[in-house]
Amino acid sequence: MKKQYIVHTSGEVLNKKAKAYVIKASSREKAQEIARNHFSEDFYAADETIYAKPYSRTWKAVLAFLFMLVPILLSFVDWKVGHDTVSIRPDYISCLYAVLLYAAFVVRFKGIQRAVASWIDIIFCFLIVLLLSSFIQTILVTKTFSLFGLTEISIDTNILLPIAILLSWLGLKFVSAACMIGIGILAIFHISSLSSAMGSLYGPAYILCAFMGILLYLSIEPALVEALPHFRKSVSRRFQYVQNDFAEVRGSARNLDYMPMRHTSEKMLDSEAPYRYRSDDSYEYEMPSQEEYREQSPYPYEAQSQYEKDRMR
Amino acid sequence: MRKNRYMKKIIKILILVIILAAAAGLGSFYYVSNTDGHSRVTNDAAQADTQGRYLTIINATNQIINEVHITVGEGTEIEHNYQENPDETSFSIQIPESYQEYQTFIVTLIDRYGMKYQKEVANVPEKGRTEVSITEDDYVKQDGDLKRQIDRFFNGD
Repeated sequence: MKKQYIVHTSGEVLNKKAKAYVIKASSREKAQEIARNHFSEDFYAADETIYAKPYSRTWKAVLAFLFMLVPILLSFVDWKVGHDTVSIRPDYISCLYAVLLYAAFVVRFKGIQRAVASWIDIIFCFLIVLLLSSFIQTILVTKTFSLFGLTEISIDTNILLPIAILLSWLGLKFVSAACMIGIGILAIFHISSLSSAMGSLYGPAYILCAFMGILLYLSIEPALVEALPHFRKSVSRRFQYVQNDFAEVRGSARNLDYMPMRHTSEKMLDSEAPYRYRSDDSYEYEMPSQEEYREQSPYPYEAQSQYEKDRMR
Repeated sequence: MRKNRYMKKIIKILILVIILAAAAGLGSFYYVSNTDGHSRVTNDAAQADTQGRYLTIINATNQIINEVHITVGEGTEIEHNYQENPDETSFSIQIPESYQEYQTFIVTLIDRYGMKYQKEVANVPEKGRTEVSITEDDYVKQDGDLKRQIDRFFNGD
């Protein structure tokens, strides 16, 4: 029986290239040889520069199936808290979102051909969509509130999420952010009640099996080798973005602290006009020179010390 | 100046959101506390009222009950007696006077998994309290009970 191998292959082209092939072969050596040939054809690389290391894929895939099946089956159970039911069962909308997410991964990284290349990939296709769908169901909930006992308001985050994304695209960032905050708050409540419903046995089993399943899948996913640099870049960009956000918030907080002082300074130093007003109603501070400080104060030491203080600020 | 204005706006919106959330919370509390059926009374009150006609339902199924239905004749439901999410193990329901002619009542309990328990009570006296104890033996089979039993297993019941 031919087993499947995932063969990570790299070699010197103009720049070093790396590609993972899924190869059916009777042995590791054969899989390695076939991968070398494929790589050589794909990148016109000299055979001696190609490095290929095969890993057995079949058993890891079977293990990943088993781990993924546990949370998928658990997601079909209706969990109870008192009289209420908490459900993370995949439905039409959550499956649609999951398919869109998986399709984005397939189109951007994996490739359609590779997504249905073997029975392992086809099974993964189903399992990943179902698993993602149950994750989405954990986050997206429908909650009905009664307003003063007069009327009921039903908030369906399945619909709220695309609206928030649409509003963000249209430029209504604040409303979009408010929607996202709403979705987040409802998700936290849902996760909390789900945690008490699933208890200390099935809750951890769900999370751990899903984690192990995804980890095993990623370890045998050939597209991951190619996608990894993109992921790293994306993660570092996101991290930078978050850092910038924090810096901006810190800056805003500092500006708010200085605001009264600035107004006083504006009055005091009106003639010197150290604040240059910009067209957008904001202003920037232009620090007076050391000589100007000396002119304003009759005491040279005090002028120098004030100058140093303001400069530090 | 501009940032100050933004901050004020954000604070105003936050206050509005908090007020709305509080209102929704109060509303849902009011709604939940009013979902009990109007015909449900405590057993003591039913015992004390000698003129009324009551069914005292005792839940001996060991399950949390989400719905209580009382029907007469061929299955006419007494809507006034419909109960949702009763927390008590036993409670009394007053039979409306308009159903005075009926002597036989069918009490149906539906647990939180959707499983049905049903018992027929015959010769209910026109005044006073009649006890109806519903146990696991009164379980009635329905389509989809396999799934309900699986849910029950995973929920540890």
